[in-house]
Amino acid sequence: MIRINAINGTRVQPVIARGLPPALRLCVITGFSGLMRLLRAMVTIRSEKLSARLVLVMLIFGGMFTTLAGRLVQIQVRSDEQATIGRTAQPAISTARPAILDRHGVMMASDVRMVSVFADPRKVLDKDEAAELINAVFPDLDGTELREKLGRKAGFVWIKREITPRQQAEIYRLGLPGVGFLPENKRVYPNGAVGAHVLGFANIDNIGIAGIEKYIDGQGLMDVKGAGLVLEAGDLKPVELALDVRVTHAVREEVQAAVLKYKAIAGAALVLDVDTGEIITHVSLPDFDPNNPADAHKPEAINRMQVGVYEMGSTFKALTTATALDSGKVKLTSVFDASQPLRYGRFRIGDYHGKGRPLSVPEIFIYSSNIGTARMALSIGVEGHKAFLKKLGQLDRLRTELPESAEPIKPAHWGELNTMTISFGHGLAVAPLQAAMATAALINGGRLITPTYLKRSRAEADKIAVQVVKPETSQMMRYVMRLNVEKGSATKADMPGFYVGAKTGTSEKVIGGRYSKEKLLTTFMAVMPADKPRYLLLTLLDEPKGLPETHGYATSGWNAGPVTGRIIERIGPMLDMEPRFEMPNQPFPLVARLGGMPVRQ
Amino acid sequence: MSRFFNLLAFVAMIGSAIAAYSVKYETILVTEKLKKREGELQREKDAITILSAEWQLLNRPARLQSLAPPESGMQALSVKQLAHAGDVPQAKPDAEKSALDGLLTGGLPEPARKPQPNTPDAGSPRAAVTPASRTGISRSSLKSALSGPAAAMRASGVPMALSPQPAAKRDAIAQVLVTPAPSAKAAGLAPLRPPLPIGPAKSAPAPRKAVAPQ
Repeated sequence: MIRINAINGTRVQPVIARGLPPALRLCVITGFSGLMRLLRAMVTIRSEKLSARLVLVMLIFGGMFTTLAGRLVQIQVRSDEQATIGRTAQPAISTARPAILDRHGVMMASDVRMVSVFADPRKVLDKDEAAELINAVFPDLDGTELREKLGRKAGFVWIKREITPRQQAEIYRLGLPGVGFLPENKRVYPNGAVGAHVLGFANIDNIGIAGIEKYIDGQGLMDVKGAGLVLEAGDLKPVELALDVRVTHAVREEVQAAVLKYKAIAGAALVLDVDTGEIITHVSLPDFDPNNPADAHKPEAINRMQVGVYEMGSTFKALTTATALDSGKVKLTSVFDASQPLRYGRFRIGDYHGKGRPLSVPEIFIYSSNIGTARMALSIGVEGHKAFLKKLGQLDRLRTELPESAEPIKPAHWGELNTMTISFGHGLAVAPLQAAMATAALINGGRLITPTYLKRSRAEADKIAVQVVKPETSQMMRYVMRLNVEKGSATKADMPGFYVGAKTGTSEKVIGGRYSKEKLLTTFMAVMPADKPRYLLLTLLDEPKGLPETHGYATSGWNAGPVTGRIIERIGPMLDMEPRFEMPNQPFPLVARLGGMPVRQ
Repeated sequence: MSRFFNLLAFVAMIGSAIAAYSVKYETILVTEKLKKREGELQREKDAITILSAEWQLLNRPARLQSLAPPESGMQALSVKQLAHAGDVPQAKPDAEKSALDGLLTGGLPEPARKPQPNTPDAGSPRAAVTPASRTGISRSSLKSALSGPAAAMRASGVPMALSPQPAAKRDAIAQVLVTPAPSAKAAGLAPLRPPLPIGPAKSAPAPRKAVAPQ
C-alpha cells in the first residue's frame, strides 16, 4: 500500500512507520542495511565533520544533565535537614494527657490548649532586630539569651512557652520571618491544693513528675508518644480517682484549722472506704498547689500518709489486741496485770494514765495501757506477733498507684523488748496509710484490701481481699473501739448519730536518738459507724502543743480526737451517711452473746 | 478514517485533562473546607475544655465556701439540723399568710387542712409532746406545733403513742421523748440488747432541736 504523493511525486513513508521512534522508522524505511549504516555513523566520530559549535552544545547539555543528576543524588542521600517545622518540633511539643476526674466526675486536672512561640533561626533574617522586637513583647525574657538562641544553627528553638492571646497577637503583628506559633497542652488543676499529693503534677512538657500524673505516664502514655503519635486529650479516657473533691476540701480545712490551733508543724488526714480500699480523702499539710509545682519540692511538703513513716503510737494497740484475740489464746474476758510497770532489763514500761490494777482486754484498750498491751503481745510470743504484723502488711513497703512510698523502719534485731514496744506502737515506723489499711482490715470483717487512689468497685475489691482475721475478731475490735468512744480515751470524737468507734494514739518523737517528752505525734483512728463499718478515718498531727483549753495536754484525745469528731460531723452527710438517733439494734451480737465485759471506771 | 480517530483521541485527551483538572481542584477545595471545619471543631473542643476548667475553677469548694461567709447568715450544717421529713411537724396553715399568698399569686387560698392521723407525716408526735425546756423550742412555737394536726389528732382521740405507722420506729421515738431520762428499756430495745457496757445512756438520742415552724 504505497501511495504516490501527488504534489512532489516522492515516495512517502508507509503508514505503519508513523509514530515510531526515528531509528526504528529509518529501519522500516531503509531496511536492515540502512540501520547498520546509521549505527556506524553514530559510533564513529569523524572529527573533521564535527564542528566546534556542536561540541560546545554537547558540553553545555552534558554539564546541565550532570548537575541535575548530582543534585538528585544529593537530595536523596543527605539527611532531612529542611524537614517541616511540625516534624522538627514534635518531640518538643507537650503531649496531651487524659483528664483526671474525682469519684463523682468533678474535674481535677485537665489539658488546656495554649500557644507557644518558636523560631527557626535559619529563616530569621535580621537576628538582632528580631531579638529586640521579641524582647519588647516579652520584657521578662533575657535579651542576650534570646539573641544567642536566634544565632544557633538549629532549625527550631522555643522563644516562650504558653503565651497569652494578646502576646500572640503582638508577636503576629511584628511580622517576623521565621517566627511562628504552635499549639500546646498545658495542665491545669482547678481545685488548687485540694488533693495535691494524690494528683502530683506535670511539668511544662506535660510529663508527669509525681503522683497519679506519673502513674498515668507509666501506664503506656509515654510509649504512645515515643511512637510519634500526638494525641488529643479527647482521644484519651479520663482517669477516675477514688477521691472526693468536696469531702477532701472539708477535711483539709479542718486539718488546716487544727494545725493552726494546736500549733502543730504538720497535719494529715485520710478517709478510707473499708469495703473497697478506696481513698476518699487524702490530706497532707503543708501541701502545694500543683499549678505552681515549685513548692512541691520543699521537704516539709512530703506526702505524710505514704512517704513519711511514723511510730504510730497507741493506734497500733488495735493491731496487737486483734492479734491476741484472733490467736484464740486471749479472750475478751482475759485479764492482764497492769498494776506494776513492766520491767525488761534496764527498761521500764509504764502507763500514761495508770490504773494500778489488773485490766481486762477491753479495759487495756480503752485506758490505752502500755503494760497490758505489752503483756498481751508477750502472751502470743515474738514470732506470732511478728508473723501477724507481716500478714497485715506492716513490715513491707506498701505500694499503691503513687510512685512515692517508703519502706517501714523495722528493728534490726527483733527480740522480746521489740515486741513489747511495738505492741503499743513504738519501735516500728510505718506509713500511716499502711496502718490505716491494717486497721480497716480489722474492722471490716477481717479482709485486708490494698488501698487505692483509683475508683474501685466492691466486686474488684472482693477479688483482691485477703482474709487476715476472723470476722468474730473484727466484731470484737469494733466493740472495743466503740467502747473507747463511750468510756475511754476517745470520748471527744463522739458524734451522736454516726456511732463512731475510735482509738487514740500518741507517740513520742525521737529527737537526737531519745524519745522526747515534748515533741509528740498524735494519731487518731476512727471507724464510722462502728456496727456496720463504712469508713475509716485517720487524723495525724505532728508536734501539737498543749493549750489552756486542753489543760495543757497534747495527747491525741485532746487534739486529733476532737478534730476527727468535727471532720465526721462535717463529712458524714456528704458521704451519704444518715445520722441515726436511735441506738443500733444489737450492734455487736457476738460480743453480746459472750456476755460483754464489765468495765470498771 | 485515521484522521477521525486522531481527532477523537485528541478530543478525549483534552476532555479527560479538563475533567481531571476540575476534579483535582474540587478535591483541593473540599479538603480546604474540611480543614477549616476541623479547625473550627478543634477550636470549639478547646473552648469546651477551657470553659469546663473555668467552671470547675469557679465551682471549687474553697471558692464556694468563701461566697457563703457567716456574715451573710450562712453556717456549716450541723448534725442536729438533720431530720427525716416525717419528723418535721406540720405547720398550721396561716390564714393571714395564705391570704397574702393568694393576693400575690392570684390563686385561690388553700382549703383548711384536714387532720389525717393515718398518714405518717401528719404531725410529729415527738415535737408535739417534747417538753419545751428540753428541746429548746419556744413556747409560741410549741403552741403552734400543738395547734397543728397533732393537736387535732389528740382531740380526735387517737392516742399519741399508738400512732399507727410506722409502728415500731415511731413508738420508740415517742417513748424516748416522753420519758425524761431515756433508758435502754424506754428506748424499746431492752429485750434485744444485752447488758453491755455500751449503754444508750450516752449514745441514745441526744435531745435534738425540733424544727419548729416559725
